[in-house]
Formats: sequence, C-alpha cells, structure tokens
Amino acid sequence: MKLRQKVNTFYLLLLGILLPLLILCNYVIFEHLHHQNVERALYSEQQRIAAYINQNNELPYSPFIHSQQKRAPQDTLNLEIRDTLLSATKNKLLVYGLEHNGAYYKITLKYPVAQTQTAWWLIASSNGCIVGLLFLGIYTINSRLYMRVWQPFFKNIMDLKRVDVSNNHRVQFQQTPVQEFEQLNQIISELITQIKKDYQNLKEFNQNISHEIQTPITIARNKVVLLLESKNLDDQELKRLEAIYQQINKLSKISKSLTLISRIENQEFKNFDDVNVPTVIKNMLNNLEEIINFKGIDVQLNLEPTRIESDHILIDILITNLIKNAIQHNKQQGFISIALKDKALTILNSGNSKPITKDKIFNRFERGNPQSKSLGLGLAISQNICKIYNYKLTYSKLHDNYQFKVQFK
Amino acid sequence: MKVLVVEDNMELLKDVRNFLSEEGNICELATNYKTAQEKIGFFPYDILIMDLNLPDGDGLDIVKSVKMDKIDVGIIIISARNALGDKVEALELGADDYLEKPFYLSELNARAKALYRRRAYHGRKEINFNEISIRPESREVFVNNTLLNLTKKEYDIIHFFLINKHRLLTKEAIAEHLWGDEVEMTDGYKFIYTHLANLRKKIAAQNGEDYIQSIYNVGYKFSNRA
Repeated sequence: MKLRQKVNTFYLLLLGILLPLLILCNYVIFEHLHHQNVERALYSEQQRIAAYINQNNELPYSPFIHSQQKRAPQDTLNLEIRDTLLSATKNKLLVYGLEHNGAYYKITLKYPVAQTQTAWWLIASSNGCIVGLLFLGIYTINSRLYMRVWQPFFKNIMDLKRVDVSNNHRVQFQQTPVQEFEQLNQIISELITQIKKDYQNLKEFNQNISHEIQTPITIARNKVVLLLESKNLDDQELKRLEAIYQQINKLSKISKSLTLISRIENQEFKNFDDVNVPTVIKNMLNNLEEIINFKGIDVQLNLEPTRIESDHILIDILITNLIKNAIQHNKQQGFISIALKDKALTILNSGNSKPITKDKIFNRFERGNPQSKSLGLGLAISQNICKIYNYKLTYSKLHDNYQFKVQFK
Repeated sequence: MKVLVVEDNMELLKDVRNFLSEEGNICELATNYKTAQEKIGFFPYDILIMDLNLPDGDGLDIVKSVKMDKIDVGIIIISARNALGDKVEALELGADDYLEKPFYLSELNARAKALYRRRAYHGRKEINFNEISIRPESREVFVNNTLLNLTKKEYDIIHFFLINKHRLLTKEAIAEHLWGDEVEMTDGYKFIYTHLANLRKKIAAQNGEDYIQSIYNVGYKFSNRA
C-alpha cells in the first residue's frame, strides 16, 4: 500500500468514526436546546395569561391552551412540565392550577415539539456535508503535501535504486528542509560510503592476494624445477620435491580460479556481445579434440542456430567448463551428446565415477572423487556465471549418464 | 641477444637472469621504474622483459614511452595482473607478448627467443642441434636433411625442446606450452607421452639420435649430455 493511500485510509476511518459521534452529539445538544425553548415559550405564555387575567379579569384567548378544567378548590396543583404524545405528535405540556373569580381551574398549555425524525435527518445531512467537505479538503491537501513535501524522499528512492557498489559514482541526494529526511539522507549516505569502502577493500584484498601470491609461486615453482634438474637426487628427496611441485601448481590454480570467481561476482564482465553459441561450442571442441580422441569419446552434436547477449569471455568459460567436465567425468570410449535447442544447452555424457549429490555439485571445492587432481571449482564458476545472467543451470543423473542443462533466457 | 629484465622481486630477477645467461644471453636487471627508464634510454636491448607492478611506477608507462621514443626493442610483459583487459591493453600499447605469472622459466625463454628470432631474422634463422634443424618460419623439422612429417603438436614439442635444450621441462610446463591453461586434466600428461613416442619414432626413422631423456618421471630433457 502506498503511503498516500495509507494516510487517506486513516483519515477516512477517523472521519467514519467521528461522523456518527458528531451527529449524536449535535442531536443531543439540539434536542436539549429545543426543549428548553419550548419550555420557555410555555412559561412565558403562562405569565402572559396571568398578566392578562390581572388586567382584564378574564381568560384570554391563547392558541397554547390545550384544556381548562374546573377543579375542586381543595385539589392543589403544582406547576409541572410533562412530555406527552398526542395524536402522533410529540408535545410538551405545562399543567398548572389557576384561580379566577373564585373558580379553580386546571390549565394545560401545549406546545408541539419538533419532529425528531426530521431533526435527525437535518443534522445527519448537514454534518455529513461538513465531514465530506473536510475529507475532500484533507485529501487535496494531502495529495499536494505528498507531491511537495515527500517529493525529495521519492527522488532519493529512485536514486538509491541506481546505486551500484562497484562504481565510484556518488549518490547526490536532493536537499530537503525536512529535518527527518535530511537525517535519513545523511545516514544512508554514510552507509553507502561505508559499503563502498568495504567493497573496495574486499576487492583490493582479493586483487592483492591474487597478485602478490603469483610472484612467490613463480619463484617457488621455478626453484623446484631447478632443483629437479640437479642430479643425484635420491628417491625420497625426489618424492618430496615432486609433492612440493604438485602442491605449488595446485595453489596457483586455486588462486587463479578464486580470482576468476570473485571477478565474476564483482560483475567485472559487463560486455554485452552477440555470442554465437554453436560457434563457441565448435571452437571449444576443436581445442579439446586431442583429449577427446585420446579418450575415444564419441561426440554427438545437435546444434540449432542460437545467439545470446552476454559477455563472450564468460560464455566461453561456462561452455568450456561444462564440456571439460563432461570429458573429465567420462569413461574410455564413452560419449558426449551436446544439444542446443530452444535456447537451452544440454550436455549429456556417460559417467565414470560416483557422482556428487545433487545439491552439493555446484559447491566450491566439491569433487566427485576426493583423490582427483581437479579442484572442484569449475562447476562453481559455471554456476556463478549463470547467476549473473539469470540462466538456469541444472544437473541430473540419468541411469549412468550425467546431464547438465543451461537454460538461457 | 641482449635482454633487460625489469622486475621488483630480486629473487625472481636473479632466476630469470641465471636462466637466460646460461643460454648465452646478456642479461641486465632493473628493479624499478626509474632504473629501467634510464637503462632503456642509454643502452640498446633486443628484448625487454617487464613486470607491470613496479614500486615507483606502472610498467605500461614504460611501454608507452618506448613506443613514443621509437626505441627498437621487443617487449614481453610478465605480470600477475591476469585480467584479460590488462593483457589486451598491454598488447594494444605495443607489447609483443604477455606472460601471466606464474610462468615457467622455460616458457619465458621460449617466448623471448621466438620474439628475438622474429625481430632479428624474421624467423628465417634455423635452430640447429646436431643432426636436427628447425626452420621456424615454415615450421619444418629436418633430421639428417630429411624433412619430417610432423603433426602440429609434435612440431611444437620439438621446437620447445630445442629452444630449451639441456633443460628439464616438466610435463606441466610442456602441457601449458602446448595447450595453454586449457589443459588441467590429468589425462593431459598421458598424451604428451603419446606425442613423444610418435616423435621419437619419426626421428629414429631418419637415423636421428634419441635426445629425449625422461627425468625422474616428472618431465623430459632434450640433451646429448649424460
């Protein structure tokens, strides 16, 4: 629900509760005043009658007199106001006793009270009108306020949507005289600065690590090769040196792959190339032809012309990783079937070893065979690439065959 | 050939110098931007091997100034900046080759020699080793003056061997030379063996000697020394 709707709903609700209360209040006050008026009129008529009798010694004509009855002198009557219903009309009666020329009378003065229903109706409609106008006014003011007072707030939201931690572009918040907004802007500005700083630090840290580690690896590895060149190594020394050599190689590959992952996650590959997928696949198979032939793997291709918009480096990496994976986890004289159809790439291959469980397969450093020399980073990298473009990468095991499927958008 | 190596890590610098000097090259060193600039300004070099991250400057600026002053020198960048963009930028600025760290000294040697041959002889100089000679420009190998019929990879291997003769080439170094980073699978090393077996057969068929020595099962050496 939008802020404006929310506020208006509140107002509407408030007025909805207020309106009946208002009507009730008004009615009570109205009725009280009206009754007072009626009573006052009756009393003043009573006084007028008394004054007339005093002056003229006879009862005057009065439209108020409802009845005058003789009564026994011993009957005492007090002045009394009484509400009564006479022929469907509500009336107020003033009943009192009067002595005139030795005769005793019971005088009843009558005054009609205004129709309650009409009063109700009048009060409700007039109050409704006022409340309606009030709501209209509030609504208008609110809309204006919403546009005017909140405008910097909405502009800042739009600006915030465009914040990208990976670039150095500063968010310029709109100045506002509203203190709370200004505070919010300040806090968000500080947060963004901090996040960008952290991001930059992390990026630099990653870069530094991968940079700084490469030179020592170069030196260490070349020294080991130089050592291996020297003669007279006994078996034990040789084994140790070989182990060092392999581990250094592994270290180098890990750091390269992790750097690649972090660069993909940092979205450093931002080109949108028009990538011809079948060409990429064929080139890749060409490069890997030797290994494929060596393993005697039969490659079946069924490629529909497909073009996608993405960074060609990433697509190269993605497809290479998947094809390499299909070669590596294959058996001698196995097969690989690559199909490209309806913007989906399916790579099916005969399997060799116990596959990793489905939910773990894209984890970093996850290997089908723990003894394997592979790092288990290839599929993690593939997964990362797919995430960037919202491609769907799925793995399934069909009998003894493994299948990876990439659904391009 | 005369080489200037610019690299801020002294240990790596010494390794490169030792390796290249043993090949009979004159090798000079610079550990920072300023020294490198001075040396390039004063002395002629055939090849400049340069790291990009120097303590007092960016190696790319040296490439720029070399190109601006029209100094005739082949440039090989050795860098830990392995972003593809850096590689493209360096090559666009006029560097001739780009070698990512970590690299094998044998690979650096091969690249430097290839670059030197291209520049000095347009690749037209033969590489000789006893009865074997290679013509790099036409990618031909002769044994006792008979042309061998080699596959592309077999040629690449023997060329790599001859350029790094008497040196240990590990299987990993050979694999990296032949296939680049593409091959990281264990199977890769098996078909180096296959290629070598074929190569040996073809050389033997022309009465060539078998110079390919297996070293401790970690690699090979192309040498006539025991």
